[in-house]
Amino acid sequence: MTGAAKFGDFERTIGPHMGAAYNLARWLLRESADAEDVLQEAFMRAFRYFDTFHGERARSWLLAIVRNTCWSFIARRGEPEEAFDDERDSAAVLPLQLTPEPEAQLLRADQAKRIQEEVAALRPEFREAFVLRELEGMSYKEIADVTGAPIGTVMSRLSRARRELQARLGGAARKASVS
Amino acid sequence: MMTCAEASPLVELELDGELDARSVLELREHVARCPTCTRQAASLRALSEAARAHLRRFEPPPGFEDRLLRRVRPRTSRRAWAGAALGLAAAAAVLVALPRRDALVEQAVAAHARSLQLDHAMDVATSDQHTVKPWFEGKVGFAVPVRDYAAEGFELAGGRLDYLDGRPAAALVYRHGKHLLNLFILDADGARDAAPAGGNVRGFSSWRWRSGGLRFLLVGDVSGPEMEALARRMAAER
Repeated sequence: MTGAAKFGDFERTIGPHMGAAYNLARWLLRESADAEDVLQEAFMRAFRYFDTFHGERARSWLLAIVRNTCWSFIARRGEPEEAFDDERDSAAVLPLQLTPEPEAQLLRADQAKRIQEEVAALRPEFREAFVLRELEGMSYKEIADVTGAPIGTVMSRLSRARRELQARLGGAARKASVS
Repeated sequence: MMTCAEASPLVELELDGELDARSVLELREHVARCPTCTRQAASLRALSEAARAHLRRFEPPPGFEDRLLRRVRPRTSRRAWAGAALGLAAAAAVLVALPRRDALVEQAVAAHARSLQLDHAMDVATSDQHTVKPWFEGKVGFAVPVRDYAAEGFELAGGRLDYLDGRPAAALVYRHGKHLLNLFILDADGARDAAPAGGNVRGFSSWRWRSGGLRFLLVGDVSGPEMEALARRMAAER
């Protein structure tokens, strides 16, 4: 394949998903200035690896590259994100709350609007799972493909993200029960 | 009989559409009798709805796609692409100018997803366009152009009456391997013709255009390039 033909093919394949790529990078990096640099790097990688792309789901394929590039960037930037250990932390977290207080259950309109900042404050593993699920409408399998985590891990991250959000949005009174 | 301990983890799976039909029934049976699980389900649903309604989808700044593709393009082929760059810039401008997820596209995607879930994709199931076309007469207020694209791999499977934008719309169903696609057709209300524009909503790709006084929305989950080719082919003929 000539360079131009390959590029044309590449452009048609990833073109429809550039918006999703940008959105994910913004949610992971939290800085718009970084997003464009990181995405340029990600797209260059994607183009380099494009020969190994065999027409499986283009969105998951591209977002996996974007996601990994973002994570390397965050590591380089030396962000003080505490590493999350799925095995260690999930076990401690996941006893499902069967009887939370009723008043904490339903979101009032003003609380719902705070969801933006609360999702931004989640640990990156939870944030990406939640954003891929709710904004991109991805299935567990697709999220697993993008993040390179097993489906069971995706499920527990998503569940944990929701529980934290419920607690944080459900009123300051219950803050203590999660952290 | 399902217990709370069994039901609780399934509530989230159901919300995410990851639970099989049989378990959904068992779960609903339990939830109907259990106030705790009812509350949990309502709370999770409210959270999900709040996220979809209020969570920001960051849109790329103007010219972003064009800028990035230009930098990624290999040097050897830049000359060949110089001529195309103008067209690309124009296309990028159109993409930026159009809202990415307008309400009608959202509705079309929802209607598409519904048609897949309910196993009710077609009111009239036939690959014969001469049967499908008259079936719509009197149901929508315009003549529905019906064509088969079997030669391109998209076989007409039937038609269905749907509702978009609060009024009847014709939905033509095409089969592509295991995938179903919906082509929604509505009155364009006198709006001018518009070239196909594509987008992505919740994992489905959608293409829309206007032609001959009608508005078309094509929704499916086949690969981007195939969808685009089909949309352009359809738009060119109508």
